[in-house]
Amino acid sequence: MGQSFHPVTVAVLVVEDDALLRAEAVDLCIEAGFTTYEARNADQAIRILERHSEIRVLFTDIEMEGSMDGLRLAHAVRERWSPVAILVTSGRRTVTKADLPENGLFFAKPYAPDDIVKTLNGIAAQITR
Amino acid sequence: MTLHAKPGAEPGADVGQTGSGQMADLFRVHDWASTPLGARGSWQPVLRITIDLMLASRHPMCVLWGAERIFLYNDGYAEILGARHPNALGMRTEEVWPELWGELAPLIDRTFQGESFAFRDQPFTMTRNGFAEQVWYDFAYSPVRDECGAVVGLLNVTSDCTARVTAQRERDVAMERLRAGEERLTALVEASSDSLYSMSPDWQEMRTFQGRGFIADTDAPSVRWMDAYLFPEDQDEVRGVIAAAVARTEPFELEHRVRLADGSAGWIFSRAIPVRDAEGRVVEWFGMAADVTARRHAVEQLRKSEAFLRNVLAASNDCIKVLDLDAKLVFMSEGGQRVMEVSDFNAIDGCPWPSFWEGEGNLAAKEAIAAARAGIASGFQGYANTMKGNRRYWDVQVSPIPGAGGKPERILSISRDITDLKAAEEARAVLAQELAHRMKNSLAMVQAIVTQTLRQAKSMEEARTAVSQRLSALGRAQDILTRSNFTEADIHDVVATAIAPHRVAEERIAWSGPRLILTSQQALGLSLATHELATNAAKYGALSNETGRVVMCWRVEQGAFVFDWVETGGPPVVPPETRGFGSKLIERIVASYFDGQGRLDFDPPGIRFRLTGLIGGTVGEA
Repeated sequence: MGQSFHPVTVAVLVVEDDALLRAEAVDLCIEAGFTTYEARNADQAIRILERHSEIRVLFTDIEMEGSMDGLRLAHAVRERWSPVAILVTSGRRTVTKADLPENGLFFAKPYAPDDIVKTLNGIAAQITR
Repeated sequence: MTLHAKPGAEPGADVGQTGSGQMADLFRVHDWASTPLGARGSWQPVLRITIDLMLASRHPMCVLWGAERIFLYNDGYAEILGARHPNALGMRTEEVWPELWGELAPLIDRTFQGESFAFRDQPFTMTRNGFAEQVWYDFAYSPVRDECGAVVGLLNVTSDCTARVTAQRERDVAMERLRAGEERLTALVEASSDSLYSMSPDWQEMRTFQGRGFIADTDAPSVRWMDAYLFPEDQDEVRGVIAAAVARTEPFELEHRVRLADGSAGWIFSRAIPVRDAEGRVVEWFGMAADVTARRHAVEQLRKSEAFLRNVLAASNDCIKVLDLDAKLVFMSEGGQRVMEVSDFNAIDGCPWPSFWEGEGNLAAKEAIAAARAGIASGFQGYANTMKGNRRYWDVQVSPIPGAGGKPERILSISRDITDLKAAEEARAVLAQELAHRMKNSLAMVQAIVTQTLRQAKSMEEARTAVSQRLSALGRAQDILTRSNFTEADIHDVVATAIAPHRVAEERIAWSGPRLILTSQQALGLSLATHELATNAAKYGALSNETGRVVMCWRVEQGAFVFDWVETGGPPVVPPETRGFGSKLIERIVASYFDGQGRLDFDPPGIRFRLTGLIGGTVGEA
């Protein structure tokens, strides 16, 4: 794949409590050429975000154990790291625009891997333009 | 008959001496010489005898003598003459009774011709006392003959029967009145459908009973009347009321059951009054009885239908209410009070019904009332608290109750407690949502397994086999979870199910460990790990030859879960050049489900795998 951006400048944080799904999502992002971090809950995610400022995309599941679910995490990230693009996925809920932070995107599980890759590429293109 | 004078007696000498009355004196002093009779001494024996006879009698008598009809009378007759006495003595009859003369003269003449007359109750209007008075007389005229048989006088024996006639007339009038009264009573009785009866003063005996067709008659006095007319079970009550009426001599009044003429039971309203004699003693009780069977049956019918409705209302667990047009509560069924936990209806009587509803229910209740007022039935569902504050969910039907004119007069509201139904519905909705979620989750897992498999497969053939085997392992694990409501599974079941397709020989695969409960993710993870290990063992490890063995054992050590997979007797182990999805699954993914670590050792005598971590479930009892 011919990326038009520097891989290090656009990193993705995958937040998913199911190890199998997380592994697949991480592989998907790596395959698409992104530096990829992974977290199994919101608390881990926040710690990683604090350490890695190159993370520009949050790709999170909603249903998770811990102090926050994925939606609350998304809102918290939008507030603290406002440039970070937000992708939310869930098998349980139908999420409306009102539930999401501004410019947040929702993907119902099981999502099509290509949709995610295209979206990530789009975001990366905007950032590096 | 011929009367003879006593021999030797001087004619006329003893006249007036035989009687001691006033008239005898008058006869003695009267100036007879100036009358046509002449001096007393000259009187014929027949005259003297007649006068003596008359004067001796206490019966009113008069004698009319000679052609002049000279009027002679005794003391008894003096009363009849009234004011005309004593002047009438010796006068011509015509002058004595001028007002009667015209009437009497012919009879008097005929008597002088020899006839006799007797008259009873002859009415006369007399003016003897200076005023007209109606009198009645019995009288008998007899001729008085002389020695030669010639009629010389008339003897009138009379009596005043005015008192008798008057009494008789009064009695006749009274009788007539009585008869008319009786006729009227008879007519009344005929016209009325009521029964009539009369009883002895103590009610022991029934004298008559006119049953008017609906009850049998009693014509002759009977002491068995109670058995004839009353059923045994009713007799005591009737007897009691009779005893009270008799004791106080007050009217008897009772509505009671009777045996009708056809033998069936009927009802009468009976009322009797005591009839007293002149001394005030009760001689009889007279009563009337009206047939009230039809009314009684109607009332009974009504009572039954009311009881029926009441029982229906009470039996229903629906809350059946009647509201007025202002939606104020006027009635709540017994069953309704039960389900609404109302201990005292008075506490809510008149309360506005919509205020029982909260939130949307309140709005819906008001709308339903407005519709009912307009004559339209409607329904809604909503939450309302019972009087004890228990929140219940109700299905409500509200309909107008039309009045006589067809316009809604009141409002019927029937609420059914469907809290359980609602809860079941909600639970079902939750379950459906949960199922959808699990399905999507499973699909996401399938997608991950397939993608991961494809990503590292060397050929489509290898990928196809690996994918179908892995999905099959996932499917078997799902079976276990389905049995346990998707939330947990026993580790024995998980291991046995996962290894089953690989058990080439019973004795070559063994496992042991305590019964432990795994979460659904741990169960799926361990299933997949077991599958991967077994598949690898079958291809390259202990299960690839005829003698190798696999042992699985697990335990909980100081709170930590330890699972070991140990292969022995297989071909010498050669570590793989690259780690595939299988390794990743075993070492990282499954370990993550246990919050722990997985380590795969490629020991030359046999592959070993150790999983350590925590288990979500609790340690079983076995």
